[in-house]
Amino acid sequence: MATAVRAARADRSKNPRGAQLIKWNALPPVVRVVLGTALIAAAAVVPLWLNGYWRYLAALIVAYAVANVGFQVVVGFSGQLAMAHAAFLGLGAYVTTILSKKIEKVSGYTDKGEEIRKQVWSGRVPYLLALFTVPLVCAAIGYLLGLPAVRLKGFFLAIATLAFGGMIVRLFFEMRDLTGGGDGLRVEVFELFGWEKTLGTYYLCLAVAVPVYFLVGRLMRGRFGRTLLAVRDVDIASSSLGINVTRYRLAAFGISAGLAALAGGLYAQVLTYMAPNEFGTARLTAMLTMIIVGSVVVRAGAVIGAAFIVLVDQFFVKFPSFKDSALSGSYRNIAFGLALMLCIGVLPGGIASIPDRLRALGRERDSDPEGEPHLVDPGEHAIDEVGA
Amino acid sequence: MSSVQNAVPLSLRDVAVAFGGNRVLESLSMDFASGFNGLVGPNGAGKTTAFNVICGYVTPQHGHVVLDGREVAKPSPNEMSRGGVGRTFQAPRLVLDMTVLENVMLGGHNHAARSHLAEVLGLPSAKRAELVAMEQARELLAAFGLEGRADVPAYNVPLGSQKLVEICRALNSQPRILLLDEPAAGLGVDDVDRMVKALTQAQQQRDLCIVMIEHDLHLVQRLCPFVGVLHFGRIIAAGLPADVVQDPTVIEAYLGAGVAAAS
Repeated sequence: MATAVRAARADRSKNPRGAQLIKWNALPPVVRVVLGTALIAAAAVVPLWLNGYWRYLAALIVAYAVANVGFQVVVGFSGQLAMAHAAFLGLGAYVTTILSKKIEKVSGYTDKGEEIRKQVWSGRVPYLLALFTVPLVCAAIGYLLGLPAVRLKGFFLAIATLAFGGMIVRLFFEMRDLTGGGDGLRVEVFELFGWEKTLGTYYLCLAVAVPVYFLVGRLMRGRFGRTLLAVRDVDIASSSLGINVTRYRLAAFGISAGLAALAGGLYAQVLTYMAPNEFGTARLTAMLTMIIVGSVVVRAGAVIGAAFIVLVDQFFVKFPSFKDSALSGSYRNIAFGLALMLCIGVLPGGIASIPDRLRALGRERDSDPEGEPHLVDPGEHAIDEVGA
Repeated sequence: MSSVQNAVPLSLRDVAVAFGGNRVLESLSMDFASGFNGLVGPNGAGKTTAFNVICGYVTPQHGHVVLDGREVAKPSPNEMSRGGVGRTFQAPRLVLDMTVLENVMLGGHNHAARSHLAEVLGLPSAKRAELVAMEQARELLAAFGLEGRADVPAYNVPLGSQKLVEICRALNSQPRILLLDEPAAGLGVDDVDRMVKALTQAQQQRDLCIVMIEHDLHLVQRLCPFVGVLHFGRIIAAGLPADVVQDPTVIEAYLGAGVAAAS
C-alpha cells in the first residue's frame, strides 16, 4: 500500500524547482556571498592560464549560457515550446555586428580593374551601445511574434515559431548587401581595454552573463517566476486569481527573445565570423539539448548544459571522419550522440538535478518505509508537460 | 431600491447555459447573501457550471451575474477576480512544483504591493512587500493547521490538504465572494472540523459571502442558513436546510435516490 502511494507520488513529481531554490536561499547570506564570489572569481581567473582555443571555448560556453537562461524562461517556466530561439540569437548577432561595422559593397570596376566600393552602412553605432539596445528591440519583436503564437500550444506553437525562425535565417541569406549572404560576415572584434582579443571577448561575455544570471534568477524566484509556473501548470485556475495569462506568456516570449539577442551580440564576437546557417535548426537543436541536458528550470543548468555540449564535443574532436566519401560526418558526431543519449537516459531531469537526486536517495535510506512518502524523482521533467 | 440590492453581494439573473444541445442551466435566478450558502443537487445538476458562470469561465447564452447590485457587463475570469470573486476547484489545481507557501502567495496577485521591476532591482520596498506577503500566507496556512507544511513542495502534500491549501490561496486573493467546489470531499474528520472553524472565522472577520457546493448534507446543515437545490439546471427548492430536506420534490430528485442507494 505504502509502495503504491509512493509510486503514485513519485509519478506526479516533477522537478522540485521550489525545493531546490529554497535550498540555496536557505544558506546563510554570508555563505551565499562567499560561495557566489568564489565561483565568479574562479570563472574570471581560470582563463588566464588557458590558451587561445580554450579561451574561445570558455567564451562560447558563457555566451550560450546567456541564451540558455532565456530559453529556460520560455520553455521551462512558461511551458511554451518557442522554437525561434536560434533565430533571435542570429538577429542579435547580425544586427549588433552590422550596426557597429562599416559595410561597403562593390558597385563596379574602374578601367584599370580596381573595385569601386559604395558604402552601404556607416557602422557608427558603438558596439556596446548596439549590444544593449538590440536586445530591447528583439524583445519587442519576440513580444509581437508572441501575439499570434500564444494562442497555440505544444507542437503547434513549436512549428509556428520554427517557421518564423526559418524565415529569419532566409532573411540573413537574402539581405546580401548587409549580411554578406551565404558568404558570411566577418565580425569586428570589440577590444576590451586593449587586452588580448580572446581574453577580452571572454571577459566581455562574463561581464554580461553574471548580471543576467542574477537578475533573471531574482525575477524567476520572485512573484514573476511563480506566476509563470502557475500559468504553465494551472492556467485556468490562475486566471481566476486575477492573473492575465496571455500577458505573462507574452512577457516570457519577450524576455527569452531579448536574452537570445543579447547572447547573439556576444556570440558573434566569439565566432568572429558567421554565416546564416549558423542560426538554423542545428543551432536550435544544440541549444534545446543544452537546457534539456542541464535543466529546463534550474538556472545552473543553463551553464552546465552549455559546458557539457561544448566540452563533450571537444572530447571527441580527435575522432576520425568516415573514410567513405559518400558519407559526410565523422565518428565524432556518433560518439557525441551516444554521450548525449547516455546523459539524458541516466539523468532525465538534467545534470542540475543531481543534488536533488542525492538528497532523495538519502531521504529514502533514512525514512521509515511506512512513514510519510519521501521518494521524489526529480527526473520527471516540466518538459514532459509542454507538449500536452 | 439599491440599498436592498446591495445587501445581496451576489446574484444570478435568469442565467441560461447550453453546451450544444445539452441545456445545463435553464433561467437560473438566485440571490446569495453574505454568510454561508449551500448549493446542492445530484451529479450533473449544473452546480459547477453555475460556479463557472460566476467566475467568468463560461459566458451564459442568456442572463447575467450581478455583483453588489451591479450587473457585470463583460465577465472574464480576470474581471470577476478583480470584482472580488475567489474560488476553489473540485480537484485541487495547485502548482505542484512549488511549495505550499508559494502556492498560497499566488493568491495575492491582485494586491501585490511590488512591481516585477522593483523585485528584479532588489529594492528594499519590494523585499519588504515580499516578506509581508509571505507572512500573510503563513497566517492563512496556520488558520487551516497547515503551518507545518508551508515549505513542502505541493506534490508531497496529500490531496485533502491540497484542497485546504487551495482555500488558503483563494482567501489570499481577499475575495468578498468565495466559491467552494466540494471543499469537504476527500478530507478527514479532523480536517473538516478545522476547515469549518477557519472558514467561519474568515467569514466573520471579512463579512464574506461563501457559496459551497457540497454533497455532505450534514455539513451543509451545520454551516449554511440557506441552501439551494439544483436539478437539471433549475432551482427546485431553496431556503432553510431543515425545510429543504423535507421538500417532496427534493426527496424525489435527490435524497430519494440517495437513500435508496444507501439502503
